[in-house]
Amino acid sequence: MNFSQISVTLRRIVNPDITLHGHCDVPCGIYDPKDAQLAAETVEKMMTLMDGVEPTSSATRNSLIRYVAAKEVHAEKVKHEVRIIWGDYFKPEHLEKFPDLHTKVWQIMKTASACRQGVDVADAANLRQQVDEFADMFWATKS
Amino acid sequence: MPVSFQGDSMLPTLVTGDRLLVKRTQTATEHKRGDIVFFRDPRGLSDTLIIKRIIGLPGESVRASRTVYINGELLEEPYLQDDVEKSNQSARGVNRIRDASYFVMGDNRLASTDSRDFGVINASEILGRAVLRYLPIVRFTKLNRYH
Repeated sequence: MNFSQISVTLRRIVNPDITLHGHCDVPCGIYDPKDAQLAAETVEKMMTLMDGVEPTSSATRNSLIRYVAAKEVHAEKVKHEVRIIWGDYFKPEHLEKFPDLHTKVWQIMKTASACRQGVDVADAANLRQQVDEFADMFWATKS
Repeated sequence: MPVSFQGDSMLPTLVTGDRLLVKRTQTATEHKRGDIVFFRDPRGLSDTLIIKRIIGLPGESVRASRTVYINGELLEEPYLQDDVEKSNQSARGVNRIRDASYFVMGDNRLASTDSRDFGVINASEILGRAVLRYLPIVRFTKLNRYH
């Protein structure tokens, strides 16, 4: 074995070409509730902006429509992101620590739908709080 | 064959960055309980090579949550973290592992996607077995049944 071959062998020992993964769909950082939290914040922000718009001109009507559209999209995004974490990340063992997890998710689904259907800022604030609590559950299981 | 290890699901036994020596195995190899084996993601989602520990053997019944019951008896697993609760709530498993198949799990029960999720794996899917960890030097050890 010449020097070059020894060098290659040593490199492969220290930095192997193959990686084995202790696989988990989750904790490798793939899941993160921050997208749901950001979406919930957006819903609240859009509702707040809508409150202050007088649709008396094309410009203000355009703004109002954009706020409504963003509210719609982000309320649905909250539901999507929460469902992913709930369905794919949480395991039955986590329910031992948070037996109200399913109820919390169900409440988020209902509140997010209420945000899509209506314009009550209180619903948006409630959604943000519920999603924050859901995120707290998530991080508590990872600590 | 030297390989790198990455991920959290085999904690505390394996840590990201560990360098392992693995041995390729033949399809007909009979694996023992506790063997740490690797295979491709059985769900076909990627070509990722996954490493897990063999928990259930052909013909056995398995109920698994954080702890494991084999044929109704609690499996002693000294390789798990100390804080694993002796609970069998919300267990998943199989009533009888079919021939030439194994039930595999990660040692980090709360952070592992394994046979609780994707079911048993066929012996033919197992590509090899981890033999020892050679780096870091201070954690050099054989990886046997009850590491």
